[in-house]
Amino acid sequence: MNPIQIALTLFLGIAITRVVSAIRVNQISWRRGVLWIALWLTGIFVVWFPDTTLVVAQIAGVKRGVDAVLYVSVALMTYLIFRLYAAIEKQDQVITRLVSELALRELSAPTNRGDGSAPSAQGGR
Amino acid sequence: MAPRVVAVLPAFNEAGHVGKVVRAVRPYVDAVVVVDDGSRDTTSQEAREAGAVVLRHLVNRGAGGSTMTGLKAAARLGAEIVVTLDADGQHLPEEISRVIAPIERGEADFVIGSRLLQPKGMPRSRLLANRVADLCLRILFGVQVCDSQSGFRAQSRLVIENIDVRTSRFETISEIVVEVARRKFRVAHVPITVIYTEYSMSKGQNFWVGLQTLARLVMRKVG
Repeated sequence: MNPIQIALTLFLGIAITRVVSAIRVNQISWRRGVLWIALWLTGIFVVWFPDTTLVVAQIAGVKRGVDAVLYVSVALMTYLIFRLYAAIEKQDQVITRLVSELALRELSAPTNRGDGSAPSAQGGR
Repeated sequence: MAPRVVAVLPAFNEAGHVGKVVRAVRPYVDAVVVVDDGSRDTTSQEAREAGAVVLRHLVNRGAGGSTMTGLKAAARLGAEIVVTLDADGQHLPEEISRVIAPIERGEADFVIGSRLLQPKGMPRSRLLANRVADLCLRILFGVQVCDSQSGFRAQSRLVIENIDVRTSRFETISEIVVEVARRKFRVAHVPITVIYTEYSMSKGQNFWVGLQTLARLVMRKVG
């Protein structure tokens, strides 16, 4: 047992408790929660049995197990960043729609009169 | 009587400019709508005093978001033709009649006031950036227009009621063009004059914003 194994196990353990909390308060679905827990448990397994990565490395045609872990991690991170970006963009669209609808309500405000017939809103065409 | 031609001016922190632009635009249209995109200055007040219908975004949503709010507002005000201009005074209001003319004649549904048809006096960096933007739009969406980034445009009510726009920043300007092409609306180009000042140059897209716009357009394509 070395310090990095303990630190990584602690970190991944905390990640699992966060996922469990998120499932409890319905922040994420059961299905998604189980996927995350499986991912973190895999991480803990690899931390304690690093030689198992050699099997993955051999299947993937990579020489060292640590390289296989790195490649998989980078691919996973890239995918997660893409998902995160897409989620933020979606939130952005929702906020814009909300802000726009609130602004459009001002059309019926006395200062705007809504029908464009207010003398102050008339053009000269 | 409901206004027939409505001008939409998206504005963000345009105090000191927007009032003058509204007064200059009013003689050429039936009503002016200013969308104050969460400004921290007196943009709303100045626009209202100048005679515009003013709508306020509670938080800044970008040029695209405010343009779409303005287009929807104009449609609700009964506009048949909506012309958009920048609120910084870079467009000439006297050219509005020319920009809306193809729609009035029934020859087009969407008109782009193009700076690239007569690029004399246009800074080289802007000229290059706008040509690159047009090329990107052509590669990504197969849409071929001249000056897709121009803020001086006219659209018929039919266009506003039928386009489905998902973005909200500068990329919306491109997305509207893509939607217009996708729905097979008729597009016309009219050369326009642009007044480049230090102020108007500071308000446009820079290289970094241009890259972000491109990234969002790619996301729009794959998303």
